[in-house]
Amino acid sequence: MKYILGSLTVIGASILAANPAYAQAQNGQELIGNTVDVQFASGVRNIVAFGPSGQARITSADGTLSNASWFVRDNQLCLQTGSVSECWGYNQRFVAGRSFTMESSCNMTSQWTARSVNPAPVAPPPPAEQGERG
Amino acid sequence: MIYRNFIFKTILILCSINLQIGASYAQGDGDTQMHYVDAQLHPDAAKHDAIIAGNFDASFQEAEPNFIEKSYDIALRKYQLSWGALPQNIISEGAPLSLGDRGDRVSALNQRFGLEGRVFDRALAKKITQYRRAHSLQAGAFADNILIESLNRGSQYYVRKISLNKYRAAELPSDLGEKFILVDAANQMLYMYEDDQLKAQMRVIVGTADDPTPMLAGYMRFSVLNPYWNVPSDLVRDRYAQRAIDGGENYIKTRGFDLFSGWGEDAQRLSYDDVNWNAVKSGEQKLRFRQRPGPGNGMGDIKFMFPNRFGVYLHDTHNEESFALDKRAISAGCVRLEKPWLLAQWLHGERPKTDSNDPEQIINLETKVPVYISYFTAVPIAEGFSFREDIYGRDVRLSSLLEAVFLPNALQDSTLYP
Repeated sequence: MKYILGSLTVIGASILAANPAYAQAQNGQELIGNTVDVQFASGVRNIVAFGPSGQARITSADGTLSNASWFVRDNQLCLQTGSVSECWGYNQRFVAGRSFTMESSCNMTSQWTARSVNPAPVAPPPPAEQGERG
Repeated sequence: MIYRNFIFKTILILCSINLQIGASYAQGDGDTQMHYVDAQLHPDAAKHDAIIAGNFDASFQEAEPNFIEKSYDIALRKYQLSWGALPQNIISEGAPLSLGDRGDRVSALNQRFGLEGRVFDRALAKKITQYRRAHSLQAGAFADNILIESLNRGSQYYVRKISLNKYRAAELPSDLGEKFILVDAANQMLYMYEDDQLKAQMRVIVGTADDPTPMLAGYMRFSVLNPYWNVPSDLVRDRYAQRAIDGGENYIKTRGFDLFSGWGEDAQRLSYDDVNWNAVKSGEQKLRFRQRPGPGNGMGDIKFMFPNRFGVYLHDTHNEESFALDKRAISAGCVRLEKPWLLAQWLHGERPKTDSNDPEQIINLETKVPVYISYFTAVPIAEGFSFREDIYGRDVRLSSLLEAVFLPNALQDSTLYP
């Protein structure tokens, strides 16, 4: 396994370094069908594509492609390849173009920048009474 | 394509940690964002299907821009090339300037257009003429305070406005439909398209700023001849209860209203005296107000239906003189049509007829036709853009939404519009 993301060796607690102003449980919906750039302090850069049914593809800078799966559990965003997983604290929605510094369960710090995200659900307007407004 | 990417995505809910997925579409409120009455008209309908099907590759495919959005792309690029990179110095207002004038204000004007000198020469006159065309200002080669006010807003003001409208164009699907109806509430016009070509247009009346016509996308499914007007409860409470109190039973009779205890099939027909009008006015009592077909009916002689939660439809009106107004935002939210029978003929292939006076005669369309009610305050034209009044104040709200929710500073980032 090449150096993809952290080390994908240990599942454990991790910290979201970017202080969430409106922290709440997230489910990862904003990432589905979108890609995130992950940049490490060492300069290594990966691209993670989050698929619709928990599939993920991780592309390293040299073009190496790794299939993985992703899931959200206990306020952590996790990637798994085979039997190994690595998780990042996740209690704030990603915002397109905004970088978040995140620390993994493997104590690896990296910057995550979603290229695009799905919008937050919009509360539907209250239903109008039947009729035509004229 | 960053701009597109952050606009329209399906909303997906990961229901549990085993990644069971349920899905629904991103649903706008109809004010800042489009509300989709029919999910198939969402720009990401294909992507949504791919996500539901678990198709990894297809789930990343972005929707192809529709031809309206493409026209914004081209026009915006042209606008930025022509006007975006010029100096943005401020020019003092004052007496109109024209060919032969000279002085500090002329110097500032020259600088603003990337020219030099203190004289209002032919080069400056040409630039001003072009600028006026590009911004739909009064034609001419003079610099009055209206022109200077426009120049002093700066090109970013216009780029931002155009970008907001490009966003609205991108709210429409890639495939707009073989035939489709586009209502532009900002311009109070309706356009009928066939094979992406404009076939006809007409004036319309839209909602007031207090009762704005929402932005909707839905399928027109049927027309109704000799329609009833079913008055929504909030209008009965806020408008008609007081009129009924003031005008008494005579008002109800002369206006052709029927009164019912509710909206269900078991609703009782009521007389004027059965109703506690003050309770209706205060909202304590719900009352169904239905106006019979005939002269003065709020729906006119035909209404066009695409059932939606806002109760907003296209319809005829007997108040035809209102179409002569320049500003036609005077309805309670519905879209009143200047030429309803032209639309009817285009939709049905022939003018729908009836030999009966029966009310509420439904005529289904052979093929459902998309209706898009949008709101464009900047529209590409041959020389640049036509800028319109933001009658509902939506530009500010959309701008705030895009900055706050999606991508901070996106609208100032010119790299988004290469």
